[in-house]
Amino acid sequence: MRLEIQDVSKQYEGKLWALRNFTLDLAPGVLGLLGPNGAGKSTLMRILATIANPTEGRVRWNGVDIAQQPDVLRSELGYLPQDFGVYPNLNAVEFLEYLAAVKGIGAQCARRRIDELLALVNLTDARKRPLGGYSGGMRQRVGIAQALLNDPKLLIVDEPTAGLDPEERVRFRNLLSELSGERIVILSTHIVSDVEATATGIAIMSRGRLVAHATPEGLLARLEGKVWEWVVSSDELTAARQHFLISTVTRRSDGVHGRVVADAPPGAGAQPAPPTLEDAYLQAVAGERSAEAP
Amino acid sequence: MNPRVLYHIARADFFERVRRYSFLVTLAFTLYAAFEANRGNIVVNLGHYRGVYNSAWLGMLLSLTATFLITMVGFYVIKNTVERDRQTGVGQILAATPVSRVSYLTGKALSNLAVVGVIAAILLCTAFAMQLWRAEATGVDPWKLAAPFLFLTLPALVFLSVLAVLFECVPGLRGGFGNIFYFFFWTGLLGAGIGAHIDYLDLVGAGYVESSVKQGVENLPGYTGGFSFQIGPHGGESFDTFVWNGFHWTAGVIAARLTWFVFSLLVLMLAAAFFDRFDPSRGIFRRFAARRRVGASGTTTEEEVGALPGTVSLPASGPAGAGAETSGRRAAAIEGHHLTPLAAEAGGWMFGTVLAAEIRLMLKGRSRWWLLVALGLLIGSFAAPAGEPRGKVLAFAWLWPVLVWSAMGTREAQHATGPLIFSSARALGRQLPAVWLAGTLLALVAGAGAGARSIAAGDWLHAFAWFGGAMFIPALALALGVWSGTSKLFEGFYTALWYAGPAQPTAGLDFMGASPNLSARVPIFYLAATIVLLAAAAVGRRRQIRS
Repeated sequence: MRLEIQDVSKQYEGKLWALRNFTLDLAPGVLGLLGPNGAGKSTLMRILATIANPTEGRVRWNGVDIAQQPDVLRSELGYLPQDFGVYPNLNAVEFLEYLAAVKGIGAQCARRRIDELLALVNLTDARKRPLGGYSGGMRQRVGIAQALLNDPKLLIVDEPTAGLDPEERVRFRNLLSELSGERIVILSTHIVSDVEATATGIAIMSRGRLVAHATPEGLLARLEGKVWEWVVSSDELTAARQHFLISTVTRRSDGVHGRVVADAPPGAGAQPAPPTLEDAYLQAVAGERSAEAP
Repeated sequence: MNPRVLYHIARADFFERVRRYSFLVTLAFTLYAAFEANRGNIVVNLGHYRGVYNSAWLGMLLSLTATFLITMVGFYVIKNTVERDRQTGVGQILAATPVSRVSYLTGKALSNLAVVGVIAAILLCTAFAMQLWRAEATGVDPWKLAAPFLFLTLPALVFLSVLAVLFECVPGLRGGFGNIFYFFFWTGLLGAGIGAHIDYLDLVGAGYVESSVKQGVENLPGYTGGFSFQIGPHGGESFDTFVWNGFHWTAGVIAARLTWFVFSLLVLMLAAAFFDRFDPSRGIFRRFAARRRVGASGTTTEEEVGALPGTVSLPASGPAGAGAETSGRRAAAIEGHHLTPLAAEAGGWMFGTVLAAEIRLMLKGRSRWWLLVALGLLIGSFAAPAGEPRGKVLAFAWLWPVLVWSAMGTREAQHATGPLIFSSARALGRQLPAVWLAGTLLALVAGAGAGARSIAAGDWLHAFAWFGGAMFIPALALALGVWSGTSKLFEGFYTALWYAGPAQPTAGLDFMGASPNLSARVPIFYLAATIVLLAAAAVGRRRQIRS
């Protein structure tokens, strides 16, 4: 099982490049795709889900070009888009039965699978209610269930935890971890903690480019000895922000505690701190931005 | 009402519309109408006479064309202004501002007016250009060119703009039923003006045009009466000409036209009363019911306060850790769930399963009353005697499911399920044909009586036309739906085609064989049209799948 993304670029009308020369090779596991808003994550997801064509480059699923033969991937694909709708007059079972048919799953097989999926996403009690009356979080869970209908080998989930309450977010993270054994899962998000809990690999995007790809441990190792906890006064904070990359700030009685990502201690009293993925993410994105700046 | 607020509501909405590709289609249609007018394919004739193309005649001709076309087709172009705010969520933002219902709807009506005003302005320019191009009369008189647009077209456009807003505010008229209802409403107004000569109901002003131009031709040799406004080729017929000097804008005529502004004001107030301000719980009936409840008890109950939008109910107090405990237990429970691996059948062709799913989806949400009427028409088509009565029943049996067909090809755009369906295997080769076949089966069942009786009687021509019609209707719905992304186009076009064709019946437009006298060429034409439409739908869907 292999997904190869080779030099993929996507240009929209108006000459905007949403993706530039994106290359990545994926094997089973969970890839956390991180990036700020507008980084090109959703564009990449749409290309991988076969509903958008790359302007340049190619994507191969087990050696088959998905632009040439999209159905080869589609029959093994589960896709949860960032924005999607439902048919408001159908209930969850009817909606999933419809999508199961569209995905080519037999009625009997689909029925059992739908029951199990609704239990998995905690919607068994609401299964007979029209979808039009569902909350945003409940609809999102229906979306998660539909993505798993055909037992996909490639599961693409774009901002899947948007709208979910903390409890459901934890459930979904657990679910992704359990599912990742013999399939490729691509989880696109800008919530670092979602990736931290589930991903076996992390790709960081910024301005349409891949700026980092490593295991979580690999990303953290790069920052070893480069993260500092530094206490400054409120007045000094603005100046500190101008000179250093500060990932988080906490106000306490003794001053402002900032986590600073820097090669050397930012100032007197700065103490080394263990790096987190959030530090690594911010450092990668900031590094790319400064490289782009004139 | 703050004029600045009105201006900005109308301006933003107008810009949003004219910057869409669909507006280019509207402009292209308008320019085509202008081109046809210049070619002489849009004419007002009185027997074998028509007016010399001077400013008065061309002002009248193009104003009548603008009013007729815009009030018929323009309604479907502009009836989406409130709905767009509903769908994009902008309505939620606007609802939280101090802007009043009346201000908001007035702004929207002004935007509607601006859109149809652009169309009318193009046709006014066409009148001017035609006079120079055709050069039948020298001396352009700007007043005579523009006055019919001012007194005939403008009041109709104002009324149309407000009426479209009303239709968007009234729950029953907001959807497909409203689109069909409007067509018959418009036909009724046209009949009231031309047929019954009721001046204050003559939206298009055709009755006044008729009486005015007739005065100019009454004493000419060979004129035996008659007035006709034709859009489309008229068989190369040549007309004698006469000089018509224009309308006499008397106070009575102007007052009759001004009544449409009064009607518009009333309609706007009615729309404001119905407008739910993007909260379905605040429609006129619910507001009225809530007032009655409050009035009856003299106070608002706690339960009612909880039901009001924007009011937050606090949970009952309990042990602080209870929620967390439940959360932990349920989150952990995920490990106990089991997903059965799929059998090998997944990914097979499974066309029957998809077809069954499409049929279920198509009929889901239809009320028992809807099914009962469809059943009545089905029985009627079995029982009706051969000839015109059976044709009429078949025509109505195939008008009744129009809202079912109109969802074909648009459902994915309307409910934003496109990404889910288009990323499935064989979305083009399996799901699209299943949608069309589901629509065809619906047509065959709904009109089964007429088909079965034709076959039993050995009337193969009508049986062929019936079968061809059953394939043509969903093909038309699918093609128009896929390319336009809205159900309105099919609802408006099909209703007009149904009215002009099978309901009259007009031989060339009778796509279902409702007429007792049927030429074999007609069903063959519609069969060919079906193939073209299906190909167009496939191309459009392919484009949607791979953006």
